[in-house]
Amino acid sequence: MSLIVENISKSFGFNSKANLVLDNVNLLINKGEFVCLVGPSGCGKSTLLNIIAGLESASCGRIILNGSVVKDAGIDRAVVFQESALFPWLTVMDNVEFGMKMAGIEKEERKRKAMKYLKMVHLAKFRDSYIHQLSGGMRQRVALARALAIDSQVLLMDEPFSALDSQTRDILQMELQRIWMDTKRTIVFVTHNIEEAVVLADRVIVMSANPGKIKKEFKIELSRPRRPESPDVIYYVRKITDELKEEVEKVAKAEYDSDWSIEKDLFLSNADSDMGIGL
Amino acid sequence: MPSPISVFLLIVRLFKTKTLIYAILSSMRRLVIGYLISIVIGFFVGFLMIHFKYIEENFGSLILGLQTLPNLAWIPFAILWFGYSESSIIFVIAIGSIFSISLAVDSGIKNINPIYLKAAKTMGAKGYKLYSNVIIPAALPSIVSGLKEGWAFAWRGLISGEMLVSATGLGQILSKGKDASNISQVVAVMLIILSLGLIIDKFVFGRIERSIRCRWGLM
Repeated sequence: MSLIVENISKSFGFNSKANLVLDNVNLLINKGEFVCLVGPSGCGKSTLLNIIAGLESASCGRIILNGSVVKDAGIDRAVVFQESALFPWLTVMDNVEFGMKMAGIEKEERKRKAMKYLKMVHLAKFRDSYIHQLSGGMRQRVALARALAIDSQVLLMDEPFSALDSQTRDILQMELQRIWMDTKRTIVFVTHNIEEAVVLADRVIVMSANPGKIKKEFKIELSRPRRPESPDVIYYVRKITDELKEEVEKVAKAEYDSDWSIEKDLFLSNADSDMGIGL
Repeated sequence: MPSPISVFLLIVRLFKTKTLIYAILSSMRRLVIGYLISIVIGFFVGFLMIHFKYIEENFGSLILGLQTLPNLAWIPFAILWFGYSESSIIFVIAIGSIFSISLAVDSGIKNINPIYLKAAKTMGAKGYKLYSNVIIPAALPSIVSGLKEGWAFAWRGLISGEMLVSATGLGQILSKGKDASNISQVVAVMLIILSLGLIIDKFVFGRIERSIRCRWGLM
């Protein structure tokens, strides 16, 4: 019962060397594990998630879930997208019921389960609202309820909180930890926010760009629920940030003028080079 | 120009002799039949265009061209095919609105935000269920505006068809008014057509559009 990413490579365009986005990625995710993929923009972390979801196909390699090869998108892997992707023509309740309706589950059962998950995300009283009546944070809660309601073991989340303000994001991170502990799903979570990754994950996978590869893994062995301001979390964030610094610079260099450098512009300075400023 | 009073009196008289009632009823009957036919064929052609890319590539501009062809231009064709009959009028009504409906279905489906389709796929929607639960509702705002446009074209087809084929109906009264040089009658029928159009637009399409806009949060 595990999710295996086996030798996944992905290139866009005809010339395979020109645009290699993912280069031979291997990953084993255990049942019930919470894994975060972090990396600079363009490292292929969202592409990898889409390949696991079956929404994009890999150029080579395969995804194996519980011993069978993943071919297409399916209800054994629920997805929460960055933009909520909720259907504006349906009410909150109908949105949460959607997956169950497609599976042909009868109405009573559907209603009961949808209510259970709406209560879990604390939006039961908004069940008859339409999507445009909800705030960004509420929409992501509904999207989470909708994904949980299809009862898949695996939950794939593609930067779900990145468009939210930081207070809402903190609340949702706490709640996602609680929901994960309650439901024991396997979660693969893509983010560019290292703090978010450390707060949420059992294991943080750092990816490097051009081409996208797994650079390093960090096991986060901290008790839960974790809070972003706790010193242990900050310690891990520091460690991972240092690891990522080089990658961020590499991507930035490709985008900015040649006279830009990470040291000169003090974008991510070392603690030992600032002579105690901020003490 | 006729005086408003004479037009008003004429409308009252036409109602009293029941000429107008029969004319409106038989015109509406034709209109509804022709329009329903055009919805069925329009959706079918629209889905064909979506489903088979080569149809769209090869016939897309032809269909666009057919949409700009006025209903009136189809009348000689219809008369040669169906004679001076009910069928020719219905044909002219349907042919006028089919293409605007199919183009609206085609572009409505093509412009669906791909994230909805992705989300639907991850929740196990496919085939017929994907169409009825995601594709049609997602494309509905633009399909409805196509249906509305089609309705306007159907009206034009109806009146021109009735004027030329001369079957009981509003177009016929209009045309008789012209023959008798009775401008009050011409203006009276024009007013009737105008108000029927407004009523249907407000109570049928207006309501549908408002409820869609309300759901999607566009107002």
